[in-house]
Amino acid sequence: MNRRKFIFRSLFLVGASAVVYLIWWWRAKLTPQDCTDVVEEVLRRRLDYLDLETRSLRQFSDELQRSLDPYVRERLAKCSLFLPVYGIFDKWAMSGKMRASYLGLCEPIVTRYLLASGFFSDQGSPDLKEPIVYTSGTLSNPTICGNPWANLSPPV
Amino acid sequence: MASKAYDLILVGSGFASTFFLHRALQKLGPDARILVLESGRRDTHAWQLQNRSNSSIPYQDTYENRSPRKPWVYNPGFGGSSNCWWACTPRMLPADFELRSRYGVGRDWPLSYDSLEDYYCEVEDLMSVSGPSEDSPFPRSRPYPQPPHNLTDPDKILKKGHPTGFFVQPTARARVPTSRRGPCCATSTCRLCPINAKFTIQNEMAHLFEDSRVILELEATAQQVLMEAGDAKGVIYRKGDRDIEVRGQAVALGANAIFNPWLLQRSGFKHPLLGQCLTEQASITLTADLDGVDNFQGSTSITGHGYLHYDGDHRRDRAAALIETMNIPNLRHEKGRWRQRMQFKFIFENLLEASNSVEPTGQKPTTTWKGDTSYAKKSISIVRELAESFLKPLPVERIQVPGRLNQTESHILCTTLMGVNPNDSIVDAGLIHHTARNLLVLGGSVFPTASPANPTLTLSALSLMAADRFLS
Repeated sequence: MNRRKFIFRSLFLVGASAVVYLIWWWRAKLTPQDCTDVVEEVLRRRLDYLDLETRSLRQFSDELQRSLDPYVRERLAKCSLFLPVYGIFDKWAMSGKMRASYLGLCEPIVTRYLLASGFFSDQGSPDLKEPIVYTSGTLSNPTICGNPWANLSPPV
Repeated sequence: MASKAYDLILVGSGFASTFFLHRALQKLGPDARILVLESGRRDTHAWQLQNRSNSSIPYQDTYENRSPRKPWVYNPGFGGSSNCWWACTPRMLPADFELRSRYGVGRDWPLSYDSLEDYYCEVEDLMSVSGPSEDSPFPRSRPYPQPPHNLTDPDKILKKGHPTGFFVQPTARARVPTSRRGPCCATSTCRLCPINAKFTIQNEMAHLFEDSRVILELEATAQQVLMEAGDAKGVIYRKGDRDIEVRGQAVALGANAIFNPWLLQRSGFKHPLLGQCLTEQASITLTADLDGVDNFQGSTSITGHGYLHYDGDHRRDRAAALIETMNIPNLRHEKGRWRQRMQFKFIFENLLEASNSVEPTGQKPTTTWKGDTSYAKKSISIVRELAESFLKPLPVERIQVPGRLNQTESHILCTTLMGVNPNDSIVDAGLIHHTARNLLVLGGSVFPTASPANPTLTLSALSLMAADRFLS
């Protein structure tokens, strides 16, 4: 490669990197506050062995978004940057500090979905073949005795 | 400015003030007049549920925070932080009162565990605390008023493996009904209990404020203590856009560890340690995946207390840790193994660091937080090792240690230290100001150390003791 080609290619690479960085920065800066897509994607990926009813899934993600702390909502919304490469990111995020931070965001979503949709209502032996239907409003109303496994038997 | 006279003026209506008021009403005669100034509103439990919030006033708006990564959480409003607390009520251990004598670090308290024991029992009775009377890490003279909560299966294995290092958590989340509360049913949303099962000032002690001797002034923000010839003569408070002056025989500040020092600073008090040493415990929440052991069977949100890494010679060098085991369903994302997981929290004590402080700037206090002490950080740095020894009795597949500490424990401490020597403390062992002898400072601000134990039970017991001593 002659010197001229080298300079052109280097400039091209630097330019391309700068453009990618700028797009990234711009999206990160202006990420919409909407994290519903991320919520749905997390649930579909994590619960790929279950049949999640689409319409109620959307309701759940809308309601969850409204109930989230603004800081968590923003962090989740920023995860939408990774949605196109979710599978790769999911693996990449599975180590070290990134894992803890990522799991800290994703795991409560799955937990809340499974509990709010009554998946465990039958004393923890759910039917995996039944479609999961979230009942609208469950998230926004505090569930009394929301732990289906709690042993509330009176003291002897 | 208008002027009225009271026997006692109390600032704040949270734990510290209310337990002081409880004793004051027992001690003072039928003609006594007590004024309670509360800067917030009376947001009832029903209001809180409806609005999904503990207070109509965001705590963030009440002070300036120079280090927003460290929020100092409290609840402005009638009943104070009893509205939002998780009702964990461990006592401090006897060694916590003698940190300097036993381990050569921190400070000694100017009082002993034994001198507080009766008051601990009384507060436990007033809060209807549920706990393990027969198997407690604290020396006790009386049983808990309520039986202990049910442990989870992993807790039971831990108890078997650490018979003298693991206990049922004492808590003011009711195990059995009281006259005003139903039993806890492990909903795990304790910040705002949907069934009002945890003790709050509003559900168990609001009647004190209806006593004919008490006047409760809401939305009344104390601005300064009126001082004359070295004594407290009253308080100036702001209501709406008016400043009102009230006179009293004695003044007790039971705001919190941000507002107590701020009020003293605005009232002309000078001391090198006033408003310094703002602190709380450092904490981190870990997760362990278990092999074949299902979780979440407990009857309340936090079920167990680990004392394995609490007291001992390690405190010469690094912080004590109290471990809480959670019964909050946090599911594992593996088909069929959803419950084979447990969460547990390490709460580390902190030493005092003068650069963490509260200063008066303009109309609001300003907090500065430079970080946890190296004493706490030393223990935090080996938290995985500590967790492994704690979980030894359990079949653990992996432990997840997050990359960051929890932002806050919502305990605000140590800004008006108690001590024997007026040169290195603000109040004495009776919580009376060293120079103004009719001015008391109540609450976590007087703690001279930040032990890992949740401070509420101790600060409430201190208020009873202070009222006993002062009003005798």
